[in-house]
Amino acid sequence: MEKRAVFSHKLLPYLLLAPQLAITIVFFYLPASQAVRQSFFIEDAFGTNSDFVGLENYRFVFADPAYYKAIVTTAIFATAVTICSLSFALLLAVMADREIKGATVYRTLLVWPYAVAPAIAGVLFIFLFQPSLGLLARGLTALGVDWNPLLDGKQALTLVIVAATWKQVSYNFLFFLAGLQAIPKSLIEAAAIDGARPWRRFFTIIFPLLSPTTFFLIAVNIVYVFFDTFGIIDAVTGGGPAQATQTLVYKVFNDGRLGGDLGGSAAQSVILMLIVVALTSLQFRFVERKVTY
Amino acid sequence: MADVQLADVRKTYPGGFAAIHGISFAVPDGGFCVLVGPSGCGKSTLLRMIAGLESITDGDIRIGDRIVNKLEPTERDIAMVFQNYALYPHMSVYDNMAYGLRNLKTPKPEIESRVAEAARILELDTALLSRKPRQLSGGQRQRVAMGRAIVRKPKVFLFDEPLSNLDAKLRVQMRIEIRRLQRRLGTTSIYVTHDQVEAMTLADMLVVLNAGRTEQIGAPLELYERPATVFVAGFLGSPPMNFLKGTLESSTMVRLEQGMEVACNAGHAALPRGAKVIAGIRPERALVRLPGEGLTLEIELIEELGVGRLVHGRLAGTPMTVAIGPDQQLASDEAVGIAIPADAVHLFDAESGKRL
Amino acid sequence: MIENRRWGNVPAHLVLIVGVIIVAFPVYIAVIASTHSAETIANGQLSLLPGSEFIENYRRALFVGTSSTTRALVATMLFNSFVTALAIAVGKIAISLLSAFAIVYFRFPFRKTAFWLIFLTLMVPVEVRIYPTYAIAANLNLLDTYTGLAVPLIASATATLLFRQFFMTVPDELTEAAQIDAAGPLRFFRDILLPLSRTNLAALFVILFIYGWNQYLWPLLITTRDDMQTIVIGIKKIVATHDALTEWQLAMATAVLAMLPPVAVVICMQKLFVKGLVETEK
Repeated sequence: MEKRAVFSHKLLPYLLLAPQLAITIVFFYLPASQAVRQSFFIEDAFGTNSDFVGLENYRFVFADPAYYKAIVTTAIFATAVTICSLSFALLLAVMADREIKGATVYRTLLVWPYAVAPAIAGVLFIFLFQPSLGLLARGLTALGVDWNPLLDGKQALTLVIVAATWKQVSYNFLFFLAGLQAIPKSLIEAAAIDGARPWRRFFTIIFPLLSPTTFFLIAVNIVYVFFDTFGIIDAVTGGGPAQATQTLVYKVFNDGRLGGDLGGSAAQSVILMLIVVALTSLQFRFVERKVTY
Repeated sequence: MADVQLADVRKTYPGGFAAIHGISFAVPDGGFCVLVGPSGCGKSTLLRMIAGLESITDGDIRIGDRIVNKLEPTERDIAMVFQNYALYPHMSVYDNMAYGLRNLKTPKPEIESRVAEAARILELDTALLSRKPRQLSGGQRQRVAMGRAIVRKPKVFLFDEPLSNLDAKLRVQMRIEIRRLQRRLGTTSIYVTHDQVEAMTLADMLVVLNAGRTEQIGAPLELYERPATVFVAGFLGSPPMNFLKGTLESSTMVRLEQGMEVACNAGHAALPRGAKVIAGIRPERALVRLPGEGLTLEIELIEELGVGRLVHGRLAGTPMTVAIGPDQQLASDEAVGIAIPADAVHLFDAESGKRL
Repeated sequence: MIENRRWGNVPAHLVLIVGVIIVAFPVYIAVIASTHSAETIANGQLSLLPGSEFIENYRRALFVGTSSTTRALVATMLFNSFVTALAIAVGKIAISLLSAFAIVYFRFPFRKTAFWLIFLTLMVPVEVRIYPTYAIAANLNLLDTYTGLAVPLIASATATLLFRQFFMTVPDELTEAAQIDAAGPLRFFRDILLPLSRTNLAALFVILFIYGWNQYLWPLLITTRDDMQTIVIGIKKIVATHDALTEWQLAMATAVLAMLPPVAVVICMQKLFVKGLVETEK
């Protein structure tokens, strides 16, 4: 789609584009291309010397058991957060979509966690689950659970998943609610007249019509887990214990900082970029589907 | 005040699609010219080329004594009323009218007096001036859109289907107002519409366009009475002209495909006997007779209009419509006789569609 | 409703209330903890009701600082966060408005190229190119500056795409009317396009302010001095001074203060917020 009415000016459009393009080139394309370049070099400890090593960094990454562990962690993390936060959000949205009194009040009460920074969400959950003084940790201990996420990798991952889910529910809720409200009431009434009971109506009418929203949210949630949960992980576990909560993105950060392995970190960055491109194009496919549904 | 002349104006889009194939006409100073045609005929494109919103591939457009081909819209000294009014939604009525004048650095008192004058001419209540467009009715918005054109005191008014968003009743009322206003201001106007009634009633000069070419140019009645082509004949008039295929028997006789004979005035037509022709008969020119007299029209449906009736039927299988007055009685509602006066028959060449 | 249920809407209300409680619980506990003394919390005696140390805790967090470290004051960090979030939101909107205007309302060589250059940035989040970006910012002497905190995050495709989409819905006739009314491109931009974009602008501002306020990884790298920290980083550092030493009542007071501005924005401008969120994801 193009505009019919346009202005003719030779220089002006370039001037208008200049600020954004300048920043984009300096802070996006330059670093991204440097990451690609770095991934083919190995730097010495002082950063004075770098040798071209071809695909050595990549070979090293794929030979590293810790990398596979990070892939598995990321996969578990993404699956768990997506499933938990989507189903919880869908339940709440379906309830709020009924024309009950105070639907807007509920919406207000449910959307605000979106505004809480991931790192702060992380801090809130450490406080609740801190083994010695956390309110919920003491509850778990009282139930006989040997709770210590600082030592137990599985518990640490659970804690991070819970915090990430909590933070994402409001976002999913908003989109589900918008999706539900976009379904014409006449369709649901038609189904009711056709004799479908509420439960059946949900699975035969509402849920299929909501599927574009669901697909879209799945893509968004995966991207969220990949990148936006960095703050949660860094605040709650710092990737530990024993790298049990180290996701792919966190590993890029960690290897570059602590390990000083810039080449390896860059190689991981490049792999991640490819993953993001795949995820984003997937997301666009779904968005397109949403349009043509 | 100025006249407008188009000389062999053409428009070809970059993709190679030719929208306008060489159109020429001249609108005299103070004239009201209506460009009419079906959608996609290029009439809006042509208007926008005159406005300077669309580039000209070839030919010249002259406003007054200036060739304006390369001028920006502002420099052409025109004003335009758009189909959906295109009022600035965030500005008050006053600001909508004043905006162009402000951009031209018109002194403030001058702006005020011109807007006030426009409001007075258009009978816009001054209380409306501070309102936003969305608070106005359709008719009021239409007036504001015209007010925005008037305050500029342009040489030419351009109207792009300005009434198509109004309901039928308001459309008739605004049509009359536009005509009255144009007479009063005496500003040369070019008006685009697809509505042939609007075209007939408004125009001093009618330009019928079809597929990017002019079919015929002239006064409305002239076009109605002597359409130059089958297209014009069919486009002007409601209900539309009936067309019957046939062959020319002599200069005063057509034999219809259905076998009947109809008298006509082919006059000095240079066509040989036996040439394929199309006979056009306006519904109101066919005369109703008793069943059995003249040609037989088998009636399918009678539409009551109040001011008269439309008799839809078939003449030996071909659809035909006849308009009759309210007092005229039909002897039967199954079939009726039809007489066609020779001077009511328009003859067109079946191949070229041109009038004979 | 389509049918009369025996229990009416009671189950729906119950589910929603439980949902609200779950969602609110961690924050409620943070608020409660921020009103108790360090000892109460350390002894695991935190109750579900407010304590008496509210004023003292917030005064210390805001203006005195934690005793165990020399971390910056919360007031300073709040200020830093505010400046950063504001700069990111305003900056993004400004450059995106201009570039979207150029791409939609002009025809010029390399227009498509420019669009794709901007569009592709969607695919390269800051997290994956963090060190090279840091190196460039360091070379430009942007460490520990507000410019360094904000500018690298200003360029992104989302806002440009949103404005592009909105501009496409502005009727061509309005532009043409303005052209006939002797308005050039900049005048059209200022007098017509900007006022028409007001709601979109406000909605986007809400989203971007929250985005800027909640940034974590970039501020973590680009700031080395405590007095340049944003609050989101600051709180993590208060907690990370390790366990027993953590002054939880101050950490929670800080957390509450850090959440307050963006949460207030979401609640007070809920309509704009929802609009902004839905539109930016289109």
